[in-house]
Amino acid sequence: MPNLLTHLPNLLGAAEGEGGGLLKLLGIDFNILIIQIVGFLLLLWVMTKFFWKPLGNMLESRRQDINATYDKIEADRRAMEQLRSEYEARLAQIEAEARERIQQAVGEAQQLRDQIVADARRQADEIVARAQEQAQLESEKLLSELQTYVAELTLRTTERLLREEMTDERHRRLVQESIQTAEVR
Amino acid sequence: MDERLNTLWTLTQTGIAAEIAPPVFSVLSGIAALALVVFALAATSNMQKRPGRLQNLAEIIYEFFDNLAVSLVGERGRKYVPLAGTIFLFVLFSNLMGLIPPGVAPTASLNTTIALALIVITYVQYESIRANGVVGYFKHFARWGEVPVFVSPLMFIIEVVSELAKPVSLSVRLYANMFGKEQVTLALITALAVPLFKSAYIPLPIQFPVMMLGLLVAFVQAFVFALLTLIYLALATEHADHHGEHAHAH
Amino acid sequence: MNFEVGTGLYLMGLALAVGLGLPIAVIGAALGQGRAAAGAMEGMARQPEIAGRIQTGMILALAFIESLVLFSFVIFFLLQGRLPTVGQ
Repeated sequence: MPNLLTHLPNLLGAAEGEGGGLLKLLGIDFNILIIQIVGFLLLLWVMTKFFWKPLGNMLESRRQDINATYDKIEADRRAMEQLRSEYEARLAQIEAEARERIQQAVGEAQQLRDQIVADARRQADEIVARAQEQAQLESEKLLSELQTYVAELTLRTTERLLREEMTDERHRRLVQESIQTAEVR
Repeated sequence: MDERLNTLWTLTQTGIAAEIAPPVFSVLSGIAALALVVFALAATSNMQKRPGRLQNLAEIIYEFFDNLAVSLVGERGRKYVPLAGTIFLFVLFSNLMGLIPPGVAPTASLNTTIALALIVITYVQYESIRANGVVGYFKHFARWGEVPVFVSPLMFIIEVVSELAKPVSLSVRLYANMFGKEQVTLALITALAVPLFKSAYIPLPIQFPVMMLGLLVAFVQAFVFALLTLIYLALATEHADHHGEHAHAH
Repeated sequence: MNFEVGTGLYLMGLALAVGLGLPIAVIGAALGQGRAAAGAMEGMARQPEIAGRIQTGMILALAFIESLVLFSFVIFFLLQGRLPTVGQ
């Protein structure tokens, strides 16, 4: 026990003493310690400058790259969406226009048909009217021919009957009479 | 036996790392640092938007620490990524060096780990003062406003002691892990491999399980060191946010 | 004579500490780590969606527990260095 106590200062103290002190026992050497500290600080500096900083920058730039790419993709998508909706709107407009035009064409056709039908009817009416008129004329003409013919027939018949005693005066009178009769008929 | 081994491994045999001259460890950690720088330059020399394999690995590491820092510290934790990441990579490379046969992990020396822990803890104090102000820094230690006033002095002492214990636990944890792994490997080699095979390199089957464990420990300890660095930074600067919100509220 | 006894006791205590200190620490830490891991596993099984965060916390807890063993491991080596060899 006294032994340990007397050893204690030696144990904790530096170089002197029989055991060389705790620090010596543990192999601690202040010069080496300082060399190690300086060495590590140097290493830290070199590593920071040539390893951690470039790596950090690289990762940061890649992160930004990725962000930019995603942003771009998003923007592209949005632009495409807008374009598509525009196209759709335009398409719808075109379709509406086409429908309207067809409607219009159909309307025109209908009108045209109506007109044609009306023309045709009018023409038919005209033709019928003309035909009637012609028929009228024809019948009048026929009638007058008939009158003439009947008169002549009557005259000839009468002439044959009265061949012998037919004077000019009598002849004239007879003609007159038959004409009158035919007219009357 | 010692003559036959004649490697750096023999030097750790006696148990205390002091047997290997500390300068050897600085040279070793220098090699680890150099390897790390070569890796870093190779990964970032020809960076492209479409990463190659090495760049991809580097980006995965970066993103991992970026996420970790943001989840632990918040958005302002981004600036701690280089420190935590460099610590992770350096410790990892150092740890892995111990798994390549003639090498010893530089982290199996307290000089290396204490250097790292001192840098971390000094930076934590600096960040704490910068975030809270000098008065706020001491108030933080006393848990001012969080505990009754008469408890504050006690809290101050406890917090200071725990703050002082941080670098010790940080450095000793890493050191003892790596040192222990080296010791166990060495014990297996000297006790079994050398008598049986007359060589320290041939009898891989004997050391292999320990080496696998060492691989796991190498990653876990490197991660724990970086994780604790971030957590200490988060704890030291967390109050700044509350004060900030408070100030904004008024 | 008295000195001899004192030295003998000192060496005995030292040998016991070297031999038993680390195992005791390991027993305690193993129990603690087992509990921590069990709790973490249970938590992960209950809420797989935050398994990552639980795992980070578990690793941290294990590291803290482990560091206690490692402290005693360092002490073990310090004490071992003080143990005289047979020749001395």
